[in-house]
Amino acid sequence: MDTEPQTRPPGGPPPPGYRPPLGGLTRATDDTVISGLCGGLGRQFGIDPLVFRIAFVVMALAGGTGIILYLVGWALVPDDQGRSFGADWLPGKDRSHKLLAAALAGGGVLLLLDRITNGDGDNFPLGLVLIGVGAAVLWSRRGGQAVTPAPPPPPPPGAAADAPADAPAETAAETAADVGDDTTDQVTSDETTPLPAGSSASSSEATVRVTPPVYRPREPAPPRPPRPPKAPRPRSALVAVTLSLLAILAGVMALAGADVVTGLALALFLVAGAMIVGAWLGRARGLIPIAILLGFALFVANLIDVPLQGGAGDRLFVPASVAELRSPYRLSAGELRIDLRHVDFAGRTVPVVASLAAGDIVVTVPAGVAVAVDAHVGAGDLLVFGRDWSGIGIDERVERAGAEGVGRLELDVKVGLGQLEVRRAAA
Amino acid sequence: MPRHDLDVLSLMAGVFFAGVALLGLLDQGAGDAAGWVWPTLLIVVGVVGLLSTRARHAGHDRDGSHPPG
Repeated sequence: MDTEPQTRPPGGPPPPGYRPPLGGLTRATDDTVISGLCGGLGRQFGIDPLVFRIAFVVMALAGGTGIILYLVGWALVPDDQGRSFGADWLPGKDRSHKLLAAALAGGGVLLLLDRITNGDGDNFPLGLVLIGVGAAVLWSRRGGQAVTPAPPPPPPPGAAADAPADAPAETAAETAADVGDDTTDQVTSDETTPLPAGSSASSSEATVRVTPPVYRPREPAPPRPPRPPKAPRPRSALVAVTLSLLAILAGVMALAGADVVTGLALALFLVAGAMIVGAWLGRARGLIPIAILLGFALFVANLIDVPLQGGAGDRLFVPASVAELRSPYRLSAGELRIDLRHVDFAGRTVPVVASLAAGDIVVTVPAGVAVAVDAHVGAGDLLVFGRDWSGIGIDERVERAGAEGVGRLELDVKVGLGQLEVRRAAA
Repeated sequence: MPRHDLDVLSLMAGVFFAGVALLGLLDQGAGDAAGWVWPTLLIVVGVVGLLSTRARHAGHDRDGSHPPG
């Protein structure tokens, strides 16, 4: 029997007795950044919502899972007024278990799809486990119902001893358990009562007397009282002091000519130290977004690992001799083309250095000269004499022999973000 | 600035980002050492979080009060 305490008409306030799914989890309407999902999670588990916000951001950056989970939560978890996009799509009882099962199985499907589309087998067992757990949750709630007929109407008082003797004990017990599972207010479970001696019923039939359950309607839950508004916290000077120190540090590092990686690392040290101080004094949680930005910038700067020099734009260099070489060739952004096909190395070994923070580099080397290429691409593509690599953090060394007595070119080329190509000119 | 209860989240975040800054300065975060450096950092952060949470609750047990959150 389905008492449907969770159903409600769309729109409007929730009726008395409305019980949101997932154990009362709701999206907080008084602690909202996007939808209040993290605020509701924090309230539900007694944890600062910032923890969930950071977790969603981290999962979003690590493959986009956080975005999917957040959207699913946003759609299915109702807010404090009982409004939701998707919870009503799942009618019937045990909606919370259906939601949980759907979330688990959906996560497993996503992981399997990721495996199929990307060919990455790391998530394959986890995807199967999630699907299995989701199916188990759903099946555990349906197992007793599939074999259980609808319960009979309650008999008149005193009719317990006249229960049909041909009713199998298991079926009667299942019926009682199933109904009790739905209502949770079953008060009678007198399962076995031996018949008096001399009864006409056979011994196997006379060992069970089942009193049908008696139902009491669930008491409607009192409506949730409105949450009192949060008292404003006193402002902490820790964030302002840290930002001031960051500005001073940036100026000092610029004057000292420090490289970007060192400057970002020291800035992150400063913010991290302020957060550790804020564990006991003041409040430092406002520094966490700043630290995330600095950490990301530090990661990118380390990845690029190319000096920001030489301006921006398109540059073409066509030296006619070794004397006209202007190594190192530097450019911050744009396209850098170095055409060395007219340079006569005259049997010497000549080093050439070139770097570009973001954009494309094309180096053309003369026919016949021996070449050793040390190439670095922070993120993008590398093509050297027809071989190509793609991805992040590419470091390759390629050597090609040349004709006798022509000379040797030692090429050291770096591109932070973009494409690096080394090609040989036609003979 | 007034002293307050130990904020475990701030402490963990501070230790984590200090580790990130150190790795960035040493240029080890994206190299071959990343296979063990990052897990080690996460383990350190987790241990710090567990120990500080335990210390925080132990202090409240002595006071007979309940920690907020």
